[in-house]
Amino acid sequence: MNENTDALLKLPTGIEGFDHLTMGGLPKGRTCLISGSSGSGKTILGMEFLYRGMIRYGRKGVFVSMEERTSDIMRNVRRMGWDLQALVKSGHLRLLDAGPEPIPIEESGAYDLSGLLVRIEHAVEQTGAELLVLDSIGSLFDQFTNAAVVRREIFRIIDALRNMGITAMLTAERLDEYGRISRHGVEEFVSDTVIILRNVLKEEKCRRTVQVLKMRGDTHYKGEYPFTINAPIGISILPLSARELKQSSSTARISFGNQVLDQMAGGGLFRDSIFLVSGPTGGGKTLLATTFAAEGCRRGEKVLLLAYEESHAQLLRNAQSWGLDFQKWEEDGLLRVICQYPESMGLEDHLLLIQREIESFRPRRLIMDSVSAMERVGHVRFFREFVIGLTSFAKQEEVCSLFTSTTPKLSGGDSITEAHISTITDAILLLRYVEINGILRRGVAVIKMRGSQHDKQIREFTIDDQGLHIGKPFTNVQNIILGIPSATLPSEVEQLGAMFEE
Amino acid sequence: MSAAHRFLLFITGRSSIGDRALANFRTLANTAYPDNHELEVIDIMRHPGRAEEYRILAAPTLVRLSPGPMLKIVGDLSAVERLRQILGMPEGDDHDHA
Repeated sequence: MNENTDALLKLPTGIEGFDHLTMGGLPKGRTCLISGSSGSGKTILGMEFLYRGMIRYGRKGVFVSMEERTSDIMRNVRRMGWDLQALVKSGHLRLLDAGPEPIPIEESGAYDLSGLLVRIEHAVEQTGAELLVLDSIGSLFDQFTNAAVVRREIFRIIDALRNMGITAMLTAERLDEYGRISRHGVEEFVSDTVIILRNVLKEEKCRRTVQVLKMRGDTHYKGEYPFTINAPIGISILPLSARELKQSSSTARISFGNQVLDQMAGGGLFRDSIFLVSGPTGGGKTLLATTFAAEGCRRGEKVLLLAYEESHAQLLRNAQSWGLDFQKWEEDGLLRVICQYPESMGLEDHLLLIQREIESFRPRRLIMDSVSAMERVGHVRFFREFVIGLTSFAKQEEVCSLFTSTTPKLSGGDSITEAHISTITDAILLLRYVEINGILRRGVAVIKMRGSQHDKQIREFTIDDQGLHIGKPFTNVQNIILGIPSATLPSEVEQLGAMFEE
Repeated sequence: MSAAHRFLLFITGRSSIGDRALANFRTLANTAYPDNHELEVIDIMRHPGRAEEYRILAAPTLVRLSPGPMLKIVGDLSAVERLRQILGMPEGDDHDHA
């Protein structure tokens, strides 16, 4: 037996994100254990493993159902758009009913489970299956009283599967999300690979995660990765930071839509950069975002605009007031506006939706107004994961992204968004109110521009019916960025001026 | 003409556990249902389709087809008293006949 070489071969599953997480798929010819609480998505994962294998790779497979009736399973996955009936007909799929029966089953004396084993072997032989799912082995412990026999027989089945070269998934229940790996300690038998699915309720939101607990003799990504289950994609594991590793860095620059801003940023934005605009409410963020969008449309670049704070009509009206015809660009197919309540779904679902939109619309520019609205949806940690997932996806697709963030106070100050995403973004632009001699004025500054020089000055900007105008740097105030601008004495101004003369 | 007591016995090839189940069944049936029972022994290795049809997981498995309702008894049938209970026979019935 070539134990060593076998262990290195992996079978891609075709499940979104799964092969990335496992660095290539499941160990080929081995059985892995999928452990999860009830409702954590074990059956769907198993079924998708077979379905993708069949649809994408033309493999054949056997599904042994020990809990649900196979007719129920067929009906349940139809909402995913998976037509199992057709796969059964074409000879790709065989479903075995091995669940509890309505008729009484009694025990008298010694037995083994060779009935199940023979049926599995028979189905594999008839279909020429490479894949098998047994859902779930815990059911055997409920159907038969002799646990020692059940354990021995599970071991025998796994052994037989290995001899037949089958790549298999066995599912098992667990009672606590962070307790024992599985209810009957079955992980002891299936020690090659253990994957845990969780469905945790946290802050009133359900969150599904997948974790590769171990994969013998092989590397994989560690930790819990969020996933969603949606029709027609099925399971979608969000890659988060894993994707960050392979980002290309573009040197091509694109325009903000404002000449002075481009200059302030050292010549415009990098094409694959992520750019954060932070400012208080009414500070000009939406105008900046609109300007950025309009510039894209003017250049014939597709723009995806995600609005979480304003309605579609309101957005068009705003643009109209600055002389921008968003409606026409929408009709021309250059602009796509999506308005949604942040609370309408969980962060994972938002991320998935955005990814789908980027994939189908293929924009060159993405605007999210505002990303801070998403803070309300979930726990801070999930919010950070959401932003990481979004930015890494946007970078991979080379979409220049502008995120706006609303500061909690008029004068600025820290926000959760900035605390968590400022390190992820490539450029940060601050918009602040500046009070000078009792008059409120607006200031703008580029405080970060990764990979480039930028203007360090704080400039005044004004808004009129033509849009955005950026003027001269403020020279006689300080602490604007800190949110407490104060006028400086002329002598100090001179001193500062001298300091920045360089 | 079919007998009043009809059974199927699923076994795995020539195995001692299967032989034991068959012997235990014969002993019981010959006393309980003399000349009034039918038994078909099915080797699941040779007829996996039959095992599929009756959704057999364990071997040996005795299936009572009639009288209804259908009943499955798993094991080598060595726990005779338990078997009598399941099949609804009076306890120690064979002692009376002995």
